[in-house]
Amino acid sequence: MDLDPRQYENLAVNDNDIHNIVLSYLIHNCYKESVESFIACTGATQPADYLEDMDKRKRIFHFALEGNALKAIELTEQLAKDILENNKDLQFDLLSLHFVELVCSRKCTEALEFAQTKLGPFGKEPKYMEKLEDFMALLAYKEPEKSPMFHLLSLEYRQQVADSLNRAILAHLNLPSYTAMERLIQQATVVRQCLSQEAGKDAPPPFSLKDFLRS
Amino acid sequence: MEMDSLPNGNNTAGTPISATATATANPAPPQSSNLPQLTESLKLEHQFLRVPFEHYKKTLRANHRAVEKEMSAVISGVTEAAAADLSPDDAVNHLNSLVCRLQGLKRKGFYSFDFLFAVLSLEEGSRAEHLQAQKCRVRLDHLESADAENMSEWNNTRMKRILVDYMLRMSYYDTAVKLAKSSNLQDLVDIDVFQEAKKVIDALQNKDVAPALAWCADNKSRLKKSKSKMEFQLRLQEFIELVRAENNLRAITYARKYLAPWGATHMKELQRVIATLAFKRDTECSTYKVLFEAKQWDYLVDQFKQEFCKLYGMTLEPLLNIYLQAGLSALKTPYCYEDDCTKEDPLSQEAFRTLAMPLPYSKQHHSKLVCYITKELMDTENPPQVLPNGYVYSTKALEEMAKKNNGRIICPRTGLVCSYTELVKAYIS
Repeated sequence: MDLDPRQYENLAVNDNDIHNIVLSYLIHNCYKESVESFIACTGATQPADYLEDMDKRKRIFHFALEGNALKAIELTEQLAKDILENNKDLQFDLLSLHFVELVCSRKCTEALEFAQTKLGPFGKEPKYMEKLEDFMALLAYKEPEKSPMFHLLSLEYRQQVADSLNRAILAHLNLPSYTAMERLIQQATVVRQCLSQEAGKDAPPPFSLKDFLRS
Repeated sequence: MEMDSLPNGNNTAGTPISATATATANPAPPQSSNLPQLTESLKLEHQFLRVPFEHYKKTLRANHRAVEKEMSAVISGVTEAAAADLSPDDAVNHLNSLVCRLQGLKRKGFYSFDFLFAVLSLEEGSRAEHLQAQKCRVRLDHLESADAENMSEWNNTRMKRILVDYMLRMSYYDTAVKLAKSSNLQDLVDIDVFQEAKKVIDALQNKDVAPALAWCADNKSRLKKSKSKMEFQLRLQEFIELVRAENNLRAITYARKYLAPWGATHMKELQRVIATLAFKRDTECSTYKVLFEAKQWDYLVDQFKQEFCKLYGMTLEPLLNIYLQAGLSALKTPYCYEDDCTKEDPLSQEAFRTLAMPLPYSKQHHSKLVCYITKELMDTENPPQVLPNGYVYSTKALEEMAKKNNGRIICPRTGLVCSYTELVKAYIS
């Protein structure tokens, strides 16, 4: 039977589906202990293949997040050589993370040598050239944290690069790059927008995860 | 009876004197039309008064800073002496050293203090001020001295002034000095100001930015007010030279000290230049390769010249160019490029035609007719008259001819003979 979208609150959702959604989120973000606890509590099916590489992904992700890009690169290449070879954007971002670490550590000589040998070759392409200019400008400031490019030194930036790396690894392993949770929220947002357009003045408010969790 | 002719609006008093002065060098213009022409001409003499005045102001500021610095040092010295519990001998020694410092001002040429009377007197610094104030006065007098009686001489002097200005801007300093000296123009031209520029330009051409940076420091407030980025560009070039020499650590130190402060307003340029550290001097990447080329120093010289002229209130173009363009624009008409263009017209010569090529045609509200016989302009005071054969000559010329020939007119072009009474007045549209 076709359901009226406006009656979604009456729709029954299978417990197994909910368990899978939660599990997907935990696995994506390498919360291994949480996965094991969740499985023990709910009796959900053990996805054996997921757990094999999670340890490796977890270590890589955390190295990237704390700015140890060289280690992250090394472990990624151990996992599979072609992940980074096929993704120059990601490669540049990781190498940039290392450059930033050197700048923050006030290791100018090493930063310079690294820039010339590893980052310089990217400069032939315009899209990397602009980014490279941003990073190199950090050298012009005694306190890069207070420079106009301070955002390149932030946790948010490292998080972004680590996320990209994680997605690339998942794609390589033929696993979903995005969690089911993300897709559901995206779809809920779009559906709510369509309903708003149809309903006119009677439209329900746009979907907001924050508001939803409060209700 | 004959109607009075309406004025045709052909008032030569409104014509810029620059055109006639440079093109025709009219030795004796009519008295009544001189002053309006002179007024128009003086609009181009802004630089003549402005440059020595700016120079004067600059000297005043420099002297003022030096005096203030010395006086504050002496005053704080006296304050220390008053506060401290000095023995009479120590006090005498301290005061003696302060007096020596004030006498140091004398060597710098500003003030001297008599030990007993503390009388101020101006010396070298004030002498410079005096000379520059005098130069301003000389120029005002020169402009006021222009009148009908000496207009020819005055225009001749102006021509030489313009040539000296041109030579100075083209860096022909020695020639400019010789011309100024032989014509006794020293107070009417700006050789000393351009000598100041010469030092900076010579250094830049030798890849040395120090004199230019010193000049920027001297004129810091003025340059800041005009949002000049001359200093920033000099700093960028010096940074590039360090990268070229692969002196990378010094380049980074230099960037932190001298380039970072400009980041707020010139971030894109700053980033582009800093990025050369990653590419080195032999990069093939065209965006950065250009930064290492020798012509960057030529750009700096050009930029400095512009800033220098702007600061002193000079025109950015040489006066010679401005006068030539104004004159040629006024004279340029389609007729100039035809074969029967009269030889008196400068544009009948190839050289002037070339110079005038990019200039617009002059706007002619009314036709201008020149008498074939006298070469004078035909206007309301000297209207054209038509012979029975259709040829046109000026009234003055025809009256003169009639007097000599018992009232008969002989056409100089066809030989036709007719009576003065047969002439018909023509009107210029």
